[in-house]
Amino acid sequence: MVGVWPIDAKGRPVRQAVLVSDTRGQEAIDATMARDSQVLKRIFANDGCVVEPGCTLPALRWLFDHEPETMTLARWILACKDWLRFSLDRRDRDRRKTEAAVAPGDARARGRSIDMLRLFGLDASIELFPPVLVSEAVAGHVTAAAASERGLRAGTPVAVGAGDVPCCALASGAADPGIACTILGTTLHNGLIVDRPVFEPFELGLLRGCFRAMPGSAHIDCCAGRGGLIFLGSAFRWNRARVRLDGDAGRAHLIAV
Amino acid sequence: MVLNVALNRLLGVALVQRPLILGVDAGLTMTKAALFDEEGREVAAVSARSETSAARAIRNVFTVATQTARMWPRSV
Repeated sequence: MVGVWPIDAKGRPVRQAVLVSDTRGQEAIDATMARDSQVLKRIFANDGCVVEPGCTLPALRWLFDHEPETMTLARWILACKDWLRFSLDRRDRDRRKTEAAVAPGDARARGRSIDMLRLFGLDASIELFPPVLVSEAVAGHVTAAAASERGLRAGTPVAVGAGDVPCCALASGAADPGIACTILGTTLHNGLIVDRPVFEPFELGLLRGCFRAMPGSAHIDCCAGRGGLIFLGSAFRWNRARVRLDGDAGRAHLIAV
Repeated sequence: MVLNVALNRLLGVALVQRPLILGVDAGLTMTKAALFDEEGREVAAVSARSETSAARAIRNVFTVATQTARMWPRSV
């Protein structure tokens, strides 16, 4: 879900989105580490997650460093889910209330962090980041234009929504503290529902805030698949296409792989 | 575009007059859309392949790797 979806003041993309799998942000992480050797520990202690090159802040730093002219057109920086929602209800409400997730942020405060922005030299760009709202809130309603484009009914309420990991955990039935789950998608997550932010084991895995409407189930602590596993879905799809194995035989082969 | 394909397929089976909740997941590999009733029961779900420049790049990497491996001398 993280990455960068830069849009202009009229809600138009100023360039292609940078996805979570993009590695160009490593340059910004390396530069930050060169200034402060403890920066990764500092980020984990604040965010509860290891920082990936495709996280919003390092990827955005790369864009500012390499595409400054394009980025002067950007008015808002969104995440994927926020862009989807924005495309449904953007003309229904005050654009200043457009809300978005960003990583790394502040896991305890469940919001963005000026300290994290400062680590990547982005504190002066804080106006690009809309406020953070809770996932259960209704952000707006499907506009007439969006209804025409998408085939949905105009006026349908549009919720803020949440990231893929908390949603998958909830959908799998992992809704109460102590329940563990495995999420197998393009990425692989083994997670545990906890009732408060957990920062152990230190510098390993991801911590995701869940829905505030779920009493006592505030967070999911994930030991995420990393490295080669980040492209699990694409690799499987490529493998299936190459060996031409579909159905039960194909699935058995891929599981064996 | 991928989202529209998924929604069109989904809404074709959702012509019922009752409150439904539509969830959309735009993943790196697939875009999924599903309808649920107010009790959380799945009514319908569809998916369509996500087409991204990143996915194309990944496919190209694997293709080049395969071609390179085939060109490699067997004795090495």
